[in-house]
Amino acid sequence: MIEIKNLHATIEGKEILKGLSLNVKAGEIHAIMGPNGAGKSTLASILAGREEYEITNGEVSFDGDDLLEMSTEERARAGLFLAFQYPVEIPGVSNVNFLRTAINEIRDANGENPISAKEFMALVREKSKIVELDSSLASRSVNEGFSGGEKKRNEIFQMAMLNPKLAVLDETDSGLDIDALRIVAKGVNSLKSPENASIVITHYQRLLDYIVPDYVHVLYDGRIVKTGDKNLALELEEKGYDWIKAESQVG
Amino acid sequence: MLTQSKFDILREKLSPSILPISNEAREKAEAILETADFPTRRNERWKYTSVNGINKLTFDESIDDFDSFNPISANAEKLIISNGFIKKDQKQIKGVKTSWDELPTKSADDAFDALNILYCTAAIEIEFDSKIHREIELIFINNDNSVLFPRIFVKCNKESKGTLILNFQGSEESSCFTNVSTYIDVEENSHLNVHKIQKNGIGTFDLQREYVNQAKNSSFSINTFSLSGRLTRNELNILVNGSNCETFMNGAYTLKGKSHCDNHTTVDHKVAHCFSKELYKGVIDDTATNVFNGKVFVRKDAQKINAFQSNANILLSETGSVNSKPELEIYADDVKCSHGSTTGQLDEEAVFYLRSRGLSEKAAKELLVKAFLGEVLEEVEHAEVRSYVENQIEKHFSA
Repeated sequence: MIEIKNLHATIEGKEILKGLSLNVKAGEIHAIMGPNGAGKSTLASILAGREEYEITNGEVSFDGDDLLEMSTEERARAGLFLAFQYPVEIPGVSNVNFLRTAINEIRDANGENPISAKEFMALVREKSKIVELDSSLASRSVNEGFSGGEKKRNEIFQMAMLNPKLAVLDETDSGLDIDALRIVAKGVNSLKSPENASIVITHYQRLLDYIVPDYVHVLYDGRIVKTGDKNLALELEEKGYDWIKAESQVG
Repeated sequence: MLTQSKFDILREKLSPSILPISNEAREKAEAILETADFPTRRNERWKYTSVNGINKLTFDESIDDFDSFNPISANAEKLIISNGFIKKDQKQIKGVKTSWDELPTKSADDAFDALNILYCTAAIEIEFDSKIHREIELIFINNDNSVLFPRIFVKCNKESKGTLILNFQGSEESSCFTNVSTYIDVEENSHLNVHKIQKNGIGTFDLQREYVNQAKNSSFSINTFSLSGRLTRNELNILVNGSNCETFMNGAYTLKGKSHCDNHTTVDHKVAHCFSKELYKGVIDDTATNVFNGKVFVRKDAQKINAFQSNANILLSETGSVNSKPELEIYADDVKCSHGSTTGQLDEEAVFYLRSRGLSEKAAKELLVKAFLGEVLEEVEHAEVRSYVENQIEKHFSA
C-alpha cells in the first residue's frame, strides 16, 4: 500500500526525519508511537503533502506511484486521508456541502459520475451514525464551534464518507475523553477491511486499547528505532521512552 | 488665459440632454461645473479614487436597440434602458413615469450630479403607492462606448411596499461611462428594498450617487453588488429623518484585473430610536483596488440609536490593495454603535484542509470566498437576486 524508504526531511534547515522507513500493506493497522519531537506529526504532514517541508532524501511509493510527486489533492483523490491533529474551523462552509464537493472531485478524478443527492444523504445518515455525530452537526459549518471531541469525531466522519485506502490518524486521541476515544476507535475499526490500511500516530498507548494494531513502531529522533506487536505499546506505557532513547543511542 | 478644466474637456465630448431640464436646475448645474474640476488626491473623499481615465474614453452616440436582455426577477415589472435611453415602444408600467414636461428640480451639491443633469439621457420616476408589494426592475443594458446618464426618482408613499432592482449589465469587453443620480423618498410607515447590481464591462467607469430620505417608521434596505468594471464609485447617502426607522446597507464586490471599486456611504441619524446595520464584504485579486468609507453620524438629540457597521476584505493576490475607513461621529450619549474593518488573506490552513480532502486549490479557494461573501448574501431576501449574484461570483472565478 505505502512504502517509505530512507526518508529525510527538513524544515527551515532543521532535519526532522533522518532516514525513516516503513512498509504498510493492505489490511494492516500500524501504530507509530514516540516521544515529543520525534517527528511523528512531521511524518503525517509530509504524507498529506504540506509544502513547508523539504524532502532531502528517500522515497515514498503509494500504490506504486511516487507520492512525493503528487499534490495534496492528488493524494486525497488517490485514496490517502489525513485525520488532522488540529482540525480547522471554516465558517460559512457547510460540512455536507464541502464533503459533497470533495466526493465529486474524487469521483471526477477517477472518471466516475457525481453522486446523486439521494445517495449522498443516505451516506451521510449511515456514516454519521458510526461516529454518533448528530446529523445537525453534519450540516453546520465545518468544525465551527465544535468541541474538541466533536472535531475529532468529524474527522472520522469525513474519513468514513471518503472511504480512503490509507488513513493516517495524527494524534487523533489527543484531548479526548474516554467516551470520545471509544467512538473514534469504533469508527476506525468499522472501516477496517482487507483492502485498506491505517497508520495511527499516537503519544499514548490508551488509544491502542481500542484500535488493536498489527504493528507498533517507535519513532525516535527521525527514525523508526523499534518495531513490535501490540505488546510493545504496553511496554512503552509501563516503562516510558527513556530506555528506547538509551538503547538507540548505544545502537 | 483661462485653462480648461477636465470637466470642460469631458463636456466637449458629451451631447447635451434633450430632456426638458428646468432653468433653475440648469443654472445651478452650470454654476457648479464652472468652478469645478475633477477631484484630486487632495480631496479627502476622493483620496484613493482617480477619475482621470474618464477623459480617455471615446463615446459613440448611435443607439442600439437591444432585442435580448436578461432580467433578474421573473415577477418584476420591467423597464429597459438601452445604451442610456429608454427603449422605445415599451408597455406602460403603472407608477413609472418616463416622459416629461419638465424634469424635477431635485439636485445635489455635487459636480457629477450637475453633469448628470445637463447630459441626462433618461429620467425615470417610480412611485410605489400600495400596501400590496410591487416589484419593478430597471434593466440598463449597454454595449461599447455608450453614455448612460439616468436620473432616477423613487417615491415609496406612506404605508406602501416596494422592491426596486437596478440591473446594470454591460457587455463584457465594453467601455462605457455611467453616471447615475438616484433620489429616494421613503415615506412614513413604508418599506422599500433596493437591489443594485453593477455588472459592467471591464473598461467601464460607473459613478453613482443615491440620496435617500427616510421618514418615521420606515424601513429601507439597499444591497449593492459591484461585480465588474474598470472603476465603480458608489456614494450612498441616507438621511434618517424620523424615529423608529430601520436601515440596512449590504454590499459585496468581486474585483480582479485592474478594477477599482469605491463605496462611500453615509448614514445620518437625525432623530432618536432608530436602527441601522451595514455590512460590506469583498475579494480583491490581481492589481485591483478597493476603497471603503463608511460614515455614521448620530446627532445630538438622536438617543437610543443602534448603529452597526462592518467592512471585511480578502486579498487574493499580493498586488491588490484596500483602503478601508469606518467613521463614527456620535453626539448623543445613549447609543449603541460599533464599527469594524478587516483586511486579510484567505486562511492557508483552511485551503490545505480542503485540499487534503480532494478539492483542487482553485475549488478550495472558491468555496472559501463564497463562504466569506455568503454572509452578505444571507441578508438578501430576494431569492432570484441572491442566486443571480451567486452565479456571477461563480463565473468570476471560472473566467
